[in-house]
Amino acid sequence: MKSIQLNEVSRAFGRDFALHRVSLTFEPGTITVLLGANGAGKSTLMNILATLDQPTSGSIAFDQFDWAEFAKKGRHNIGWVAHKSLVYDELSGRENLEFYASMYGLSDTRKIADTWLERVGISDAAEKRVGEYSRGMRQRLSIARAMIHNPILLLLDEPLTGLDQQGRADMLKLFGQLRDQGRFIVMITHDLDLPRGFVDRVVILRSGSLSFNGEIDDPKQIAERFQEHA
Amino acid sequence: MQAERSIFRQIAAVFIKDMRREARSKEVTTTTVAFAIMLMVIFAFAFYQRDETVGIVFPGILWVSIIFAGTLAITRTFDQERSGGCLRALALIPGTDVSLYAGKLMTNLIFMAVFEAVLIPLIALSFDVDLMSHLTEHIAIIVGVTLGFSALGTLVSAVLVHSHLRDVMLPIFLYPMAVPLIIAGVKVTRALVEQNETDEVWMWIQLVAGVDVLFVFASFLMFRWVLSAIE
Repeated sequence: MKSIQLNEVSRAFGRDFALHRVSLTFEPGTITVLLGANGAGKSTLMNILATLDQPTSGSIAFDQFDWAEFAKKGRHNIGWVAHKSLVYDELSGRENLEFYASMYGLSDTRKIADTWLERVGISDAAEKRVGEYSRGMRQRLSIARAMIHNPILLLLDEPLTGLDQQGRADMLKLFGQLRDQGRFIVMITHDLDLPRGFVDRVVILRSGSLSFNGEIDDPKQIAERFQEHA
Repeated sequence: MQAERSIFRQIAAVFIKDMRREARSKEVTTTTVAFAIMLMVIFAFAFYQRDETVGIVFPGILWVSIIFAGTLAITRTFDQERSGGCLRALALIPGTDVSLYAGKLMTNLIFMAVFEAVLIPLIALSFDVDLMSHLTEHIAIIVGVTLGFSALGTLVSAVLVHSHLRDVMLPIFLYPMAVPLIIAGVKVTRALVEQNETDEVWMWIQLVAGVDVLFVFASFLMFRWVLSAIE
């Protein structure tokens, strides 16, 4: 996929616009951070990119596919870390990943699950039930679940929530590696203390409209732009 | 061919996941079996009178117990998916509109089969009813009604997955649609217990088979829309 282009995308709920005429382009091999106050439209935009919510007007081009075609044919390209962990408490970490790997039709699910458990640093808790996981471990598992099928488009909604300093550093490193592999990464975060060079583009939404869209990699500048535009 | 293999793997994954969870928690099997036995005991004491009334009382008690306990199992169908938000993750996986429904239907059939295997012999023993003389017909009607009821129940359970009143709403939606199955179940069981003509029995069993085909087919078709609405 060469690009994802949003053209005048709006999403209305009744008379209220959660997203209003937003035009954006996402490119491969970049991390785009989506900022905005509560209710600014970040989650709505993420849901639309995840093809779980349809724009009321405007168009989106996922390469040659429009939104509806991508929702039908391209969903396996999406990896999504949501507010909820989207994993089963009664199963172990490994069982969860094996389950999702099977659902994606992957073979050698055990090996894939173990690889991802190691990549997110919870191999030691592979057999433990997720219900007994700490918040940070659950978040790491959620990230592994979203990545298990090697998606091209990664949608990360507050992926650093609940992580300790080490976990945070590990996950940022992982996202950086995935970016370098040419994936599209769109991340919502309220944590602006990101390492220099981690972010490629910052998009700020205010009351559903695009308030700022630019290339910044300096965390200080990101914080300043956020103060100005959010 | 590849796609078909993938769907079957998905169905197996959903089913194994649900069975694994139940093997650990035993939530559904213990509650449904306990509930079914409790109903059976109450009914047995309340309605048992003389041999000649067994043909009237037994079918009602049997099917009320099966339907009530089955409702208890079916209500829990998508509980795991709802609590963890997993439906949204599953919605992003191609093919889940078929495999999720099929896997959940299989799970519900197993749950119902487990409590039926305990409940039916117990009720028959309590009322001194000989099921063995028409075992094939008894099995045919129980399997037929269970399949249709589970097929419909799995769909209704998905429709109500985000409703706070799902425990109350499920029977309200499910029972009216399941009436043909319940009536057929009662008619067949009564005819068999009273040793009536088996021609009538097979007519009802064929009707149930037809209703099953309709319910299963329609539920598979509708689940796609339900999943897209609830994701």
